[in-house]
Amino acid sequence: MFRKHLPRRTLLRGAGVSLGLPLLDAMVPALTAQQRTAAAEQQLRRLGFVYIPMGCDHSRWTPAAQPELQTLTPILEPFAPVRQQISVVSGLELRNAWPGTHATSNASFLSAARAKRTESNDYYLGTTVDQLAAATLGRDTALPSLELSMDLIAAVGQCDNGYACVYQNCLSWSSPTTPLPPEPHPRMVFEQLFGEGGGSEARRAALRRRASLLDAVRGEFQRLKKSLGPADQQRVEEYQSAVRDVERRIQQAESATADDRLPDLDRPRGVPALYSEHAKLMFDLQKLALQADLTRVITFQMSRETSNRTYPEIGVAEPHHPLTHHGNDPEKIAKVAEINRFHVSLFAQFLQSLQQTPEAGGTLLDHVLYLYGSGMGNPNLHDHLNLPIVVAGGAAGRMRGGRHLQFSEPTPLANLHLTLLDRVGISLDSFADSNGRVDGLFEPASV
Amino acid sequence: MIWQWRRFVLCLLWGFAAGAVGRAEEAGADRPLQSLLTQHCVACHDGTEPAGGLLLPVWDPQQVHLQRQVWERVLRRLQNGDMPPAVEVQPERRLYQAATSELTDHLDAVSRRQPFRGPTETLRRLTRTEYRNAIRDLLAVEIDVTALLPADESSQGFDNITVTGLSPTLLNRYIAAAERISRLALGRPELSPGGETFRVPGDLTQDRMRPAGAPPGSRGGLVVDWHFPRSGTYQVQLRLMRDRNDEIEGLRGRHQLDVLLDRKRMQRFVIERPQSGQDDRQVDADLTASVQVSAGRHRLTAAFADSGRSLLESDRQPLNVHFNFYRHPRLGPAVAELVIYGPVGESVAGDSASRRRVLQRLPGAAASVSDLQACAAESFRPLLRLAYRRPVTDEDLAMPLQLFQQACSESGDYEAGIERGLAGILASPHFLFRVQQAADSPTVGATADLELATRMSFFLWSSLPDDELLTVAESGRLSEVGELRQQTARLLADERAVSLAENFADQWLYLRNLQAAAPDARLFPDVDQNLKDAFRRETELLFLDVLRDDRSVLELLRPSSIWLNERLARHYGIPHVLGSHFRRVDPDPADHRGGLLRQGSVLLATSYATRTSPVLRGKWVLENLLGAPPPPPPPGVSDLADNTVAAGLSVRERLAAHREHAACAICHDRIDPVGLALEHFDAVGRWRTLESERPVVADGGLAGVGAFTGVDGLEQALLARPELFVRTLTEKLLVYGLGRGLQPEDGAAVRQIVRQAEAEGYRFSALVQAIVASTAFQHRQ
Repeated sequence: MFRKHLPRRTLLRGAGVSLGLPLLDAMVPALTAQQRTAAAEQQLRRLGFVYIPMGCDHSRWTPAAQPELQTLTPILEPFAPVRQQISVVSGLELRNAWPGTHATSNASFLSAARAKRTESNDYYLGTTVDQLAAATLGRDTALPSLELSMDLIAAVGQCDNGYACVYQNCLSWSSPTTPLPPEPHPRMVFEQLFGEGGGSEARRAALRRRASLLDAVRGEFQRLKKSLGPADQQRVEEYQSAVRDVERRIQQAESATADDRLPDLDRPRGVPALYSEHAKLMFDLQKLALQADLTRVITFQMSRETSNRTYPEIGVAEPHHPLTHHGNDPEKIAKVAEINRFHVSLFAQFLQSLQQTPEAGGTLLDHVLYLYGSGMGNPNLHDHLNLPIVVAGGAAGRMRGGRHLQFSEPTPLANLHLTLLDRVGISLDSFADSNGRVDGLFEPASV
Repeated sequence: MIWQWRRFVLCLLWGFAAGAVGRAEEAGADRPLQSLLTQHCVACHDGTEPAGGLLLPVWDPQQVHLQRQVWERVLRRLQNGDMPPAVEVQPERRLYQAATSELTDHLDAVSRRQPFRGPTETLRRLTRTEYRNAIRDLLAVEIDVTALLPADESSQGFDNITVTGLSPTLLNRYIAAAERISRLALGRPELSPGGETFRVPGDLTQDRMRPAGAPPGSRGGLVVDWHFPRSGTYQVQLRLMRDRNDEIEGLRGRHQLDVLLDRKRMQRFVIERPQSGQDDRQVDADLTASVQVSAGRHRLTAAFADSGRSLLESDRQPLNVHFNFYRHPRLGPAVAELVIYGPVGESVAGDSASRRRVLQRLPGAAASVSDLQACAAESFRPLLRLAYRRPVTDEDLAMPLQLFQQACSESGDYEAGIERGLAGILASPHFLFRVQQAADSPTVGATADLELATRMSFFLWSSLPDDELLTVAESGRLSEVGELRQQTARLLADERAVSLAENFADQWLYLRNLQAAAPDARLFPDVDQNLKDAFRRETELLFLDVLRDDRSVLELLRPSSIWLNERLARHYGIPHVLGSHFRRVDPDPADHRGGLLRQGSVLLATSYATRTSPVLRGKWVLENLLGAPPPPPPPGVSDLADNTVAAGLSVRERLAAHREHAACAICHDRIDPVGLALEHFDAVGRWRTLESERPVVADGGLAGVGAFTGVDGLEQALLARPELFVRTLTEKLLVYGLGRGLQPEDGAAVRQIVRQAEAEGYRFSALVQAIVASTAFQHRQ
């Protein structure tokens, strides 16, 4: 009936996914004291995907037709401080998003698959690229992946021209039939990642308390064992090895906390009223999650397809979706461009904060790869050509930033996904409708 | 084996000889079982490749005690009417009854001499449900256990069977839970304000309905019960449902949204479309109420004031569901989420029921160390007794006292010490594991009654034994016949026996699968969360009736009254039932409603998304009502080729192919006819006379009974042999109560229980009393 919110994963039917545990409870210190070397950190690979809806105003997005990003166009201008760590890719398409709808733009962005047109629960899409990455990268982290959004999404049933709401709600799918609902609430995300949070001293104290509790429990198992017959004692011995295992993990976590560089983890209060503050908070949480190595795969839906959100912060009082059906009205197009630029600026701020975070002889930005873009190209036409796409990060120094790659022929977005998977050490022959890889984005050296 | 084979041949020859003399039945009138075996069984079940791998031993009453398993299996097949197979000559009625009687007598006699005790698992972990109930009864704290612990594995249809594992992750969860719960029980402060988020399912219709627990005059929204950790100020924030465009749904007219704390209105918000020029996002940007709440459990309601209802104008019969923007839009605004945040600012531990439960004598201001210890011991002792389910020893007390000492001296705070000691108790294996020693174990003697008390309370309450039950067990009187009966009756009459409905019946009838049922939205648009909730409640209430009024368990099949609310009644097509609350209604035969076979929960859970499945329904009946589950399909069997099935065929016609292939027919001749009798109920449980414009044919049948039509026929067939249904229910209760699967040798115990229940008209309490008194449950040498 009326349920307390559960971490979204547990609501999935038959997903068999384990509950993601908060930092303290996870007891899986991904970077233990032994492992925490610069070399190890340099090998870290993280993938992030950020989605914006309803395409863009190409006239203000597309950079000049040169391989180097010299002048940033009005929408891309906020990237200036991190220009050398972004590249713009033009000419990518999503063939499987046709016939153009909003639901399929969202659904095919990370899957490059054709969504089955159904309103019911027999939806069928494809495993998304982030989940392919999570299957490998997620093995060593408490959370295999993190799915975030900005909008509380509850709609069920038909959402868009005969397509079930899940296509519009969920960017990330762990199998063709398993959508992963994202979480918009900063506090929910925080609690999933960090439980109560607190400063490092508080966390150490909590670990010490848990260690002493475990010590007492160990004594209790010993007592129990002595009270039973020999046949049953063996069973208790199995339990005792579980106790030792947890003791070990607590010890490891304690020594990891000793030199961790996490700031004080302050639990957010609620959902900020301003869009920019809400978005900033969601980006901050992503940064913390990466710093604490709680996850290495993140997807973030900055706004939904068909969203009628207005952006009073930047002086756009009209709802987004109708604006994108501008009918070539220059005023409307200009406002669409304002919204596009606003989203870019929030993402650029995030990249900047990653750039200002030192890690392993470089910065956090050096060791992540983010893909930012939309599954729709021209929103007025509802096409899926010339998708607005930006690749950001360092891939441990091998990305060629500050470039503009252009494809003269429409090229599958899946090619880019395949290339990104390469960079995080996952080499596949193909992905969805890919027909090759994207050259020129990265140094051709081996991972 | 060879001597058996030789005996077989001799037996066969004897059998033929006997047959050659005269009519077989007359010759074997004083040895009916032997005659039956000879005439109807041995032909297939002998030789080097006996049918079904069952080589029947020679019937020798002196050897039965060595061949119990085989003969119990034989008896069961005979009783179910499975054997001889329908295609073979069937035994004549009198011979059949005499033979099964004879076999039963022999098996029961053996069981009296050598009761079967079954395997024992000495250490059994509490299931998630049992843990939650134990915390509730021990500390008066209700927790959401689904967020703290993983789900338990299901085995034999129940989640308390395979409960011996303890992985490091699970142990870690128990420890984290213990810390959390002990802090909550005492109302100790957290690092920063906490809270909870409750989300309403997107497919819950909030128009024309009142959630359970909301006061009359309210509509939609939600009711949540939450344990507020401390006394102080909390913020309650609400958000409204939005459609796919992120627009707030149903914003027409003026609505009042109330926030109630324990039925008292704390705040009223006005919800209406904003003036032009304003973003409607502002409508729910600030639906925040600040409430003063005392520590402990309270009920929060967020609901709209009902503004009455008018008839919906519609060209067609209006749907009952309103939740999808395109198909059946909401009529008014709806609540999407309720977020509790707090305590904000100053807060105190307060005086919650859980604090009263934990803290006994508090030490004075200038208490000495020994004073503090003494006070702590006074708090821990009663908790230990209940938590560990036995008298408290000094060693038991030592562990929490040591933790107490550590925490108290570290922080100088008495309650911090109590919290830590309590966490130790909750994390101790003496709490988390139930010990059940084998009857012949050297250490069992003194604890037998205590272990029995625990078995009883977990069977009937899914929770800890209470003080009275423990006291009786400590005195050693619990296993005395009179005392046992009295305690069992007391446990059944207690509120906590509702766990038999919520935990046992829920699992027995597969009600947990209901949530996952997803009928195709285009074929069955009139389905929402409200309907699924109503289905589940209907079945729960039926079970509760039988439990609380101590009726005959046969009323589960044919009750004297049914439970309906408006949503359910509309779905069933029963008029004049208004309001969201459930109420008792006399069933009208014309409505075709009543017991389990006619309830939406079962019918929906046994259907596919687009159509009914007589196979699933047949299997469900055979497994859950008759205790004759069909075997799974053999490996490598191909599905019915889709291209031989025309879309225009009825389900019945499509399944006919099942029975054309001999290899399929063996099982499907048994399964399909049972489900086909229920064809008048569609995939969402509505009564229908047409299936896509063709008349429904509900001819069915049951092995051992014969053919019949419709649910009336099936019900009649089940009620004609009530002992089969009661046997099945007994077996399910035994599996649940013993925490182990049943073996053929348990057959005698089950028969004994059914006989005792029959003597008392199959009343539910008679069944339970007989189970508790049975050797298997008593677990004695």
